[in-house]
Amino acid sequence: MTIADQPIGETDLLAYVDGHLDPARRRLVEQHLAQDSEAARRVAEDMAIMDGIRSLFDGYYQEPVPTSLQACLTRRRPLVAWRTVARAAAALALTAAGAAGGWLAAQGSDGAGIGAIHSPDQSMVRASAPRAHGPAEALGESLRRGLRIPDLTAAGLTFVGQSVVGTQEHPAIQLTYDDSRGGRIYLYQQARSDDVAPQTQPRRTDGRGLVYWAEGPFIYAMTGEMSSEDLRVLADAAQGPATTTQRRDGIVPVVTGRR
Amino acid sequence: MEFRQESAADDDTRWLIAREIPRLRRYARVLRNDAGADDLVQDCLERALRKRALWQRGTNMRAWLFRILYNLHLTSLRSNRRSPQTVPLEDISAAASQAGSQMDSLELKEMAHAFRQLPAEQQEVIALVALEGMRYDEAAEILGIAMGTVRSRLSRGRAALREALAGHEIVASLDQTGRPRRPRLRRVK
Repeated sequence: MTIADQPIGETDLLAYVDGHLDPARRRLVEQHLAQDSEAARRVAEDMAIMDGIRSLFDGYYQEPVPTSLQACLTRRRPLVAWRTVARAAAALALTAAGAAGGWLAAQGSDGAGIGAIHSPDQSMVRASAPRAHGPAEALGESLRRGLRIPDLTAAGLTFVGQSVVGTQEHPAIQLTYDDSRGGRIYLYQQARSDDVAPQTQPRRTDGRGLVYWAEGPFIYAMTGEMSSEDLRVLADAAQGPATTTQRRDGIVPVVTGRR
Repeated sequence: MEFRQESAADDDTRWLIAREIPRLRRYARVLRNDAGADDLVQDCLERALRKRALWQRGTNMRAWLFRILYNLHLTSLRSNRRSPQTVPLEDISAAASQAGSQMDSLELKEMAHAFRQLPAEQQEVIALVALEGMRYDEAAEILGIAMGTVRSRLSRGRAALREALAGHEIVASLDQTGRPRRPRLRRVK
């Protein structure tokens, strides 16, 4: 008995509804349905039900994709969204500089805003082994889930603590490292969003470098009392081996500050 | 030059992944509640990006991504030890209404209710086949089950839906060119 001779069964009816039959078998099923009104009605119901389920969820398919999801896939080099990245990075850079001790002056007299961050010593809440909770719990879900504490011991840095800085709307995580000469390096991580904009203008002083970059849905900034070029080496280390290999495609972090 | 080629290939892969986001979001809504659905998709995209070297060019990107999404969903269920929280009925039918469905809001609500009454394993199969047009072998691969299991869940799920929607009549009408439209369910008033 060949497949064509086999009686029409449940498997055929299922596949007919889903359009998975080859033309010859489909014709056989249609002949069968023409003679079996009960089976024909059941197939029609199934088709209608499957269309109904498509209708139920189609709204979600039609929705615009949230920026946060698209950002997951953007490369770390400036592409179309670079303006947004640059603006967000600039905002974070201000956070970084503010927290690092007045490298940038805060704008506004009330001390509020992203540039008016407490000093590092005040903001330091923990000097212990890296932990992915504590102050981070105050942050939004996306930032918290993406929190990463790079191990920079190979670069001579010791992790000393983490804290939350920035504003309520745009919190950032500050990671603090000590270098062997008693200096401090700060690494900031902030969720990337369209509406982040700098609230103060940068004012440079000597002796402190700043490197910032975007990666996936986050903006990172690193600042410390060394040249930006030296910081850039540390920034490479902070990005870890997985992302270091991606840098072969010409991704270059944006560097500002003292050269 | 070699870097440029690698870079272009990487751009292609990212583009192929990005193209699937709307489908991943839709299937995540089948698996999760509204708030958790995009988190699941984000986890899926991040993992896909990290593992993209494992994806073989020429193979089915959509199936690969759906497999990642579904596995992440299972992992999260296991770690949270909770039953799946799915999108509330009102949200589904409201989203469908906004999308311009031919069904009226009451019909949509009843359809949503009937669908959500099914065991999760049947919803998962029906959605892959109905929403994504997956073949049974593809659905089996994504869900990590045998093809026969896909068929039996599909069969039982549809039977339950037919029973739940027994108060509806089938409307078969003709389109403008005189060809029969696909049948649709209408509530008996």
